[in-house]
Amino acid sequence: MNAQVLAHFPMTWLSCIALLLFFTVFVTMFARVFMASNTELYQRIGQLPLGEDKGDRHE
Amino acid sequence: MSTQNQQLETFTYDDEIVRKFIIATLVWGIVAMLVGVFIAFELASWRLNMGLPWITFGRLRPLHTNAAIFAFAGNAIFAGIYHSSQRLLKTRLYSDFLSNFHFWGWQLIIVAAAITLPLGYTVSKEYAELEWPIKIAITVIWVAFAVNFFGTITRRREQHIYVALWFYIATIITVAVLHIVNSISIPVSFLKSYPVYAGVQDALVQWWYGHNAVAFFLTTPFLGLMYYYVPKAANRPVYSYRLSIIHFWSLVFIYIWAGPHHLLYTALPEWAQTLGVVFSIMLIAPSWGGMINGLLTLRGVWDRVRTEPILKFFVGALTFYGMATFEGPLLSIKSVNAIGHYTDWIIGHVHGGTLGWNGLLTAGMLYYLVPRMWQTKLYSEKLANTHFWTAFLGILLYVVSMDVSGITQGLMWRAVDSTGKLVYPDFIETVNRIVPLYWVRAVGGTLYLAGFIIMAYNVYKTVQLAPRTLVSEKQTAPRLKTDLPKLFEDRPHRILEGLPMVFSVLALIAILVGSVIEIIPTLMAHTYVPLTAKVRPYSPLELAGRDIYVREGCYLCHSQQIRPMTSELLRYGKPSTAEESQYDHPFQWGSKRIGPDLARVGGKYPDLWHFRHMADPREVTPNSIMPAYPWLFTDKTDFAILPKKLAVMKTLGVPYSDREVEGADLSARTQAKAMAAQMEAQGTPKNTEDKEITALVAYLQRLGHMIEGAK
Repeated sequence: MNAQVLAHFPMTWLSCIALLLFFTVFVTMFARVFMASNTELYQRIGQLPLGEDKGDRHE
Repeated sequence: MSTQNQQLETFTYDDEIVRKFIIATLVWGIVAMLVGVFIAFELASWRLNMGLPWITFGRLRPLHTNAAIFAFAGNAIFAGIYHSSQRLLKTRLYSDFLSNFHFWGWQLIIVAAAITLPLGYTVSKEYAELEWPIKIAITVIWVAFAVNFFGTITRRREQHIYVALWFYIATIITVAVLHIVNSISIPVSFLKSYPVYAGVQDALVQWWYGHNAVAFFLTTPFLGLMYYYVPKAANRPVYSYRLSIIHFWSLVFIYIWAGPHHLLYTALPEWAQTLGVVFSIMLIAPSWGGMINGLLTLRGVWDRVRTEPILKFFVGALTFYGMATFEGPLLSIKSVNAIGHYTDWIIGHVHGGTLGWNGLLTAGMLYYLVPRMWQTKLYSEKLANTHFWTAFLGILLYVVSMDVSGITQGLMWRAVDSTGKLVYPDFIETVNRIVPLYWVRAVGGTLYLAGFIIMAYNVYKTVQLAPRTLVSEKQTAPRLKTDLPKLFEDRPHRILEGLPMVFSVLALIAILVGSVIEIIPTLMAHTYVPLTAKVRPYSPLELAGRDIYVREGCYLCHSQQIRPMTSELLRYGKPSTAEESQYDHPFQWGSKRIGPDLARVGGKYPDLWHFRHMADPREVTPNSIMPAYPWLFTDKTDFAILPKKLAVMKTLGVPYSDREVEGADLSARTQAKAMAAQMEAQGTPKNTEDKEITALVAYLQRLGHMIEGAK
């Protein structure tokens, strides 16, 4: 049965398209995210959780 | 400046709902772990099953997993999400009513699960065992949660959607998709249903769900919590925000594909198995990216880890996350999986993740939240440190014992001598070898539970120190300007983050790509694979027996899937094929072999052997650790419901004729009468024809004989 399914499976292009899609999106995102001009922006965003609300004073 | 001041708005956070979820986390955490410890001792000593149906391992194990995942981890997630989202979005939750509806509805679902599972109402799909009315309730409550969460986003006073919130979004969307797709079933009665999928399709859909329940219920929401609470506790921003973006998108895209690694060497098509392996190995990259990002957030404050219990718990959680996400891909490699699958190694792996990653992160979060939510100081840091070390020791004992046990099992099962014979032909030999390790595991679990109870006591004492009236302090933040033209001047991902609905749709697409590509071709397998073998559906009595098998949770200890390996061929017979389970709604392949595989047990022993085995397993298999099932000899088979059951099966595509459906009751009684007469001739007590044991034996004797003419 395993061999039958593998031999008759006619849609191998589906998984190839998915892999290509993933790598294209991943590489594009990687390039964009690591652009030097974004450094300051991401540093600012990373500070968001540290904006203390008043309830944070109890420790 | 004056314009900005005019736009300042005053609001309060809803901390009452966070407090409720914190208490629920503690209560259900104790329940889940107590049940877990009890069933661990049941495996070490079968006597603890006590001959009572409601507390047998097969019925309590689903209660343990559901309570740990959905009650303990679920309530922890909701507490953390509701607390952190309000602060990250600088707004109160969208609706107090929805928050409370969510809380009470979720607790009601947990209570319903705690009642129905021990009573044997189960669909038998792991981590999705609950019957259809409860599943509908879960859908309703999840939608309420989603509306409340996304409504809160729409009312935000912070333009940027911080990375923690992306993980929450992915969780809400994906869990909804997984739950709905995996739960589609047709009811037979108020608490009985059959899934629409069968056999290989059901297996793939189930493990697509099962694996991603781990991914999107136990991983992504906890990563979101990690990205919020670790920086808060360390008082430092996340190490690399850029890495968090890469982490998020690669994790949600890759994780969804990995489900088939639960089905390696089974009758699942090999292309699907291979996809599962490839993506599982790829998962190391984003998982370790997240772990490294979390640990490096603590750069410069490592000295505080020695003294502050919260940081200690977070470091422990991240370390166990790293170990579990290395071990997972390792176990997905086919040659490693050949040894590890069906063994306790998987149990060790899973508990390394849940006790280490989920449990310790939740504890760290609770130690952070409780003093803040009750506006006082933590009662005792010393107790918190004691909790950490007790839990840590418990995890070590648990994981090491199960890893050793699993590898021992895997190697003993496959040991073949120079003459080509099994070195350990009796399965019970492999069981008895690991029973001492079951005791060690039970002790480890007890230590972990003890640590958790210490935390519950610490929280109780902390709450007693709280002021009588808890008032949420007023917050102020400027109103958010929705200025789309300005937004589009920004960077692409920045734009995306400003449009949460678009972001959600893209996250949905990312998880659907893998799901569709794996599931659709498998559902269509009949269109390109000629099914030449003629499979005879279960007789009405066998179907009744099968439902008893499902009710008692037999699949939790016995697989029904023989892998194409020499050792399995020698022990069990020829490998299982997809045709054999094509009418199995639901599939019963199982995921664990505490007992031997049963795929070809039919005809291996006479009826009398099964009869005696179910009455007292040790009578026919000395030193067996299986519980006895005395109630099967007194409880009567429900013959009257069989026409309805066959009718539902027919709707699902099982080729029963109208005559077979209508006469199912009579047909089952006739077969039972003949079987009972035969068993009585062999020496069993009289009048067993209407008892459940007869139906169960009928089912067991059919296993391995699904294809007409095949032996």
